[in-house]
Amino acid sequence: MKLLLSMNLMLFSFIPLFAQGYEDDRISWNESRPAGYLTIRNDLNHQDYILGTELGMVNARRNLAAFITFDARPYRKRILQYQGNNMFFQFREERYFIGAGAEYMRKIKELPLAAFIQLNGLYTWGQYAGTDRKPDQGWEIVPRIGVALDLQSYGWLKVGYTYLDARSYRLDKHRLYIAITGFLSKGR
Amino acid sequence: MKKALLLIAIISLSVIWSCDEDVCICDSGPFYGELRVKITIDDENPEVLLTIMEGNIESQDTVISEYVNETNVYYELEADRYYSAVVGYDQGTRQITAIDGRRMTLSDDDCGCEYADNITLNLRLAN
Repeated sequence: MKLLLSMNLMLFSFIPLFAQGYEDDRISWNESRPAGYLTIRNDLNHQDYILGTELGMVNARRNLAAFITFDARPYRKRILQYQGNNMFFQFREERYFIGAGAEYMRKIKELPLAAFIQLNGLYTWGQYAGTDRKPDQGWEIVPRIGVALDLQSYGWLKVGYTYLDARSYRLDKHRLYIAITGFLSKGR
Repeated sequence: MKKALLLIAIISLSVIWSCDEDVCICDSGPFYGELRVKITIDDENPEVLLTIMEGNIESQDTVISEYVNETNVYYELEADRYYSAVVGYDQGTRQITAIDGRRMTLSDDDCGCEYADNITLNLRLAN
C-alpha cells in the first residue's frame, strides 16, 4: 500500500509544472489523431479507499474515450456484519473490480479545463480472510462526473464525484474521484 | 620468499571462497515463523478466548486455543501453511466474533535458501 501511495504522490507532484507552462489550449485539445492513455485513479471517502488503473483510447478531438479498468482496495478492510440476535462477525475483506466504460469531455472555453461524465461498467468480487464465507459480488454501473485540468499535451488531472457501491457491508457509496492521466503517444 | 607469499595468498583466497560456499548451505526444513496476533483488551474484555486454526475456521483444525489478556501475542508455527484466528468480544449488548487469516509464506534469501516469513493477524475491534 505504501508503494502505491508513494507512486500517486510522485505523479501528482508533477502537476504544478504542467499548470505553469500552459500557453495555448489548441495544442492539447485539438490533437489530430486518436491516442492511447493510462490513468491512475482513486475513489475515496471517509470510510474506504479504492485505487485503480484505466487503460483507454481517446479520439482525435479529445472528447470521447473508451477504456478498460482494474481497481482494488490496497488493504484489507475491517467489515462488521450483523448476523442477527445482537451478534456480529468482524471480517477482513479484500475487494477487486474489473470493467470497461466510456467518457465524454466538454471543454470549458478560454480555460485549460473540461467537464467530464463517465460511465464505468464493473464486476466486483472479494474475499474474507480466514473463512470460506464470501462477501457480496456482482455487476454494477458506476457513474462519475467532474472537471479535468489539461496538462498540456501530456494528459489530464481529473477531480470529481463517484457513486460506487463496493458491495461491502454498510459502506458509504458517495466518493471523491481523483485521477491523473498520461498519454501513451503524442497523437499528432 | 615471493613463492611463500604467493602460496599464502592462494591458500587464503581458497579459504575465503570455501567459507562463502559454507554460508550457502541451506536448511531443508521444516521452517517455523512467528505468528503475531493483535487483540483488543479493555474493561469489557480483560481476557478473551483466542483460537488459532490451520486452514480456514470452517476446517476446525485447532492448533492453539487459550485465554489471553495481552494486546499482542506471539506463537512459533510451521510455515507454508494458512492460519486463521478467532476471538469473541462483548461490546455492550453486542457479541462480536473477529476473524482473520493469512498464509505463512516461505521466501528465499540471497543464497536461494528458504526461510519462513513472519505474519500478523489483526483481531482488534473496529472503532
